[in-house]
Amino acid sequence: MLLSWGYAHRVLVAHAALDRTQRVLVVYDREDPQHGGRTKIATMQRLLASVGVPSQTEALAAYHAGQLTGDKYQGVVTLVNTPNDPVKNAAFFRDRARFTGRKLHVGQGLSAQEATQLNATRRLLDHQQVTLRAGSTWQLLPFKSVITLLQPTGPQTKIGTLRASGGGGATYAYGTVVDQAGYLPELLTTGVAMTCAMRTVATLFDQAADHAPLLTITGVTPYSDLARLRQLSRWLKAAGIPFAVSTTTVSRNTGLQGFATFTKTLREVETSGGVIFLRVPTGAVARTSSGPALEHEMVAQLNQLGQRQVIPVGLSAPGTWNQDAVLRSAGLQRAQNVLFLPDEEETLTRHADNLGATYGQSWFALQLDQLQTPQTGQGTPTTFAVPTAVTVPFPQSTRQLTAQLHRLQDLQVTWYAPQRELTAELTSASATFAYRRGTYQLNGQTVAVSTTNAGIPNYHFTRPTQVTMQNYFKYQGWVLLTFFSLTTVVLVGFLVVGRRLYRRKFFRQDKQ
Amino acid sequence: MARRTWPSIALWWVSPVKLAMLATAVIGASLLLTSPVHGLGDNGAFQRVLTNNGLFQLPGTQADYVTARFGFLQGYVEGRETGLSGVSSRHLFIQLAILLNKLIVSSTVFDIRCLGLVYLGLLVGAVGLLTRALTRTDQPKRSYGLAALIVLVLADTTVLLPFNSFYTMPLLVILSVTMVASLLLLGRAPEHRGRWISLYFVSAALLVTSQPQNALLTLSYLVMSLGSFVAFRHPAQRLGLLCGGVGLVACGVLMGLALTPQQRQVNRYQAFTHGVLQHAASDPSPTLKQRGIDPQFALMRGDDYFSADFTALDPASSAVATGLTKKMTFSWIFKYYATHFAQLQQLLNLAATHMLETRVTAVGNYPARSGHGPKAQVQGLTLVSAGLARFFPRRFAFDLLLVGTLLTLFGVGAYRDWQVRRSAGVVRLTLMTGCLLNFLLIPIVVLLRTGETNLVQNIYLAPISLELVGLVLIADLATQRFWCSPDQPVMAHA
Repeated sequence: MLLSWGYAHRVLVAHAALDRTQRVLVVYDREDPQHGGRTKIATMQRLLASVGVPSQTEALAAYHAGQLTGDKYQGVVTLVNTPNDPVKNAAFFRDRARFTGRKLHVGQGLSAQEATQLNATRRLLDHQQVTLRAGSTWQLLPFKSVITLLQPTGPQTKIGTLRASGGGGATYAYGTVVDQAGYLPELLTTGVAMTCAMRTVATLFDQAADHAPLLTITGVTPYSDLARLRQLSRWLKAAGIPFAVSTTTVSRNTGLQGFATFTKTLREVETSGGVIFLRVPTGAVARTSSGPALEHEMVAQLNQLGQRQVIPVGLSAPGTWNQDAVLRSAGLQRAQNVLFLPDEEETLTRHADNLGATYGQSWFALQLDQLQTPQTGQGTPTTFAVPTAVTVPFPQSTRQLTAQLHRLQDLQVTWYAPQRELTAELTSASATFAYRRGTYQLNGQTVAVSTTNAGIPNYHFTRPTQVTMQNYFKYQGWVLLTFFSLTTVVLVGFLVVGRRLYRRKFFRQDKQ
Repeated sequence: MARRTWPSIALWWVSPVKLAMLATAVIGASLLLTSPVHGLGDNGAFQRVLTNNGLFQLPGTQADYVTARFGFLQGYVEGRETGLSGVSSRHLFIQLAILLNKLIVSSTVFDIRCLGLVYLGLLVGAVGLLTRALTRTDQPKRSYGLAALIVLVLADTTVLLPFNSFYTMPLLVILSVTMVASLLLLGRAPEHRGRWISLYFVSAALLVTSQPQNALLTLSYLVMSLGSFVAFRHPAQRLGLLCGGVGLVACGVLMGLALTPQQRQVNRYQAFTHGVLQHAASDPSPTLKQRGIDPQFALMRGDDYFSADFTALDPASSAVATGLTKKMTFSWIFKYYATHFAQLQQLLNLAATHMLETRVTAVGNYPARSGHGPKAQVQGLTLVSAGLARFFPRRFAFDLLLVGTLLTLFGVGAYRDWQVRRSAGVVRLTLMTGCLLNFLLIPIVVLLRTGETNLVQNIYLAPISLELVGLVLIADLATQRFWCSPDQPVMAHA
């Protein structure tokens, strides 16, 4: 079932040449973490990475006059989190009005001048329940007291249709793009609203296309139930569903049985039509020298996997990793394919600079659960404007596994097939891993993946050093213990005998 | 009239007790109260103590350097533990230091040296008590020598450095010294016995409640106090002793309960990764499977809970809790080592190599920007600690043997005193038994509880206990009280 999209004029497939050198400046008013403001900022950053443009994020208060007037930036995104409590910075609004690059406004507080550039006049809807439709999918937007929408006065590219409950049949566009200007009344990170936002941003940068989603199983670790993972991949293979697994791994203790089992399972994933995204490691305590430590860790992890024919096609990481100088350079930049996951509650940063880089292909992760909630309607969009990974958490029980499988079976989605479409490269210090439409390569040599490990199992074998008298030193303590105990017993014996003799000698004389 | 020799002149001028106290105070003050601050850096353990005392760490501080200044939290403190969790007697001393700080230094910034000063004051007092217990006024020459020895042992740089930190180590030293001194004095002097035994029980209670790990040490401290039943003969007095013992047990139970779920999880995790998985003869995976733990968890070998490295799975995640730490009970670990005794021996020998180490090398001793590199160590007066750490034999079997020998030797004195109905030897025997029990029990308990994590810091009380036993041994040999106590009072009669 191919769903048609609710954008009006043109279906964009051809891409204009994309500028990957100039950044897009993302300016937000406040982080507003209590109302999900931070998530919105992070989502916008991930979205720009998926579109393929480098970004720079800063708070409105930190903007200084003249930043936008040069040709340093190719675009500017205004992200309004707290419309009721505006931050004042006249320089920004003045510079933005003169700015000639691409402009996107997200949230409330659209100025009249911005509306004119969007070929529209502003229209305020207050206290109304709004429904968003795109093709056959729909979503009930969360109730807001005021929402600013556009009344068109000229040609626009419209993405998604909004209908208010008491509007008497009037419809408005959700995402709007006119030449170099774009508008989203709100950035919702779930459901149809999210997919519309993706398409709006992609259209603004002339990058909108129809990408099939990549089914991705997230949250796998070496400590997950591997039998369940094998079962899952076998079943997906039988159902003909291509997929990816996002997993962490270890760099130490690789000689233990557990690592053999783990890599055997991952090879089975590879032979069942799955590809592996290596999930970057977590770390609890930040320390200053973590760049070299991370570099070392990543290289060790990749080499240990590569020796066992587990060839990751890319890295998966929380979006924050792309906003951190150390994590980017020591971690992510070795990969051509990076899958950006939503941030967890606590994501570590080492040297956050809020400069998002771009990669060969950045996948935007979107949870399947967030696409299919009562609020987001029943239909699942089958195509996405940017490369998208639809993620499913690794099931925690057999019952969950069965439910998950039934759910995937019922979805009428044509999944992205890495075997037909994906080419990828990943470098560690000494090795280059590559994936060319179903073929794995290590340093340019094709690797045959089978369930048994054909590689050198262990480079780090230790030869037992032969030391003379080694056994003596090993048991030295016990030898000494026995020796001294015996001596003590003998001495105590002598003491008793001596005392008896002594007493006999003197006490007998006393009695006499 | 006897000719006035130098010891008698010195005695009149400054007694060995005063000399030891003075020397400790001077050495301690020159190390702890000068600038730049000497102390111990934070290995991550300060956070809870700080929050519970209304303090916070100014940003940018790490284990490599000492932090000298802390801020006071204002208003409601988020994360301050309530009820039993987080209870520790060291908070009393920290609060005292905060009060002192507010009086003499500043009401906005806490200087760690105030805490150092509080601890140093207590140590000076404890050193005075110990010197009084170990020296004899009728043997001035030897007493001065002993006083010097006590100062060398207890004013050692490695003993003093933790004073400028929020670790428990200072309390362990101060209270152990006080307990040993008070029981020795109890056995040797007929007067003030009630005072000494009260001091003993108060110190023991404070020590047991200083950290949850010490709950099991209640056993040693009960053993230590057994000898005082010989000194006290009256039923009412003995009832008092019994009450003291019961109180001590209550403190132990309290500390057992004070362990927060998170601490328990940290302990269990590290008992697994730094204990069960370490030094196994072969791949531990099959054994784990047999005992109901997913063998994949063997891959965690050597991981820290508060890791400075990158890990595949956050130790605080629910997957670790349900798959590992909920199953990793004390009985599981106990049963594991019962069937893997060789591995426990390996671990104990590893502990034995650090048995007399009191220097914590994992953290720095100087503040940042003081011209010293990260984790730089103060040298100072380390004759005793460095010598013992280097030359003490590194086998657990030797430790067992040593304990056996020492107990036999002290046993002779106790037997001879018992025969002539004198209490000193008997009190000393149970006191030494308690100390030596500490010396053997602590490494075992620590390995079962937390594995080899922070080993030197966790078994810190073991070397201190043995050093105190050594001091008593040398002092009693020198003052001719070892084999019997000739001039000591006889046991009290009912």
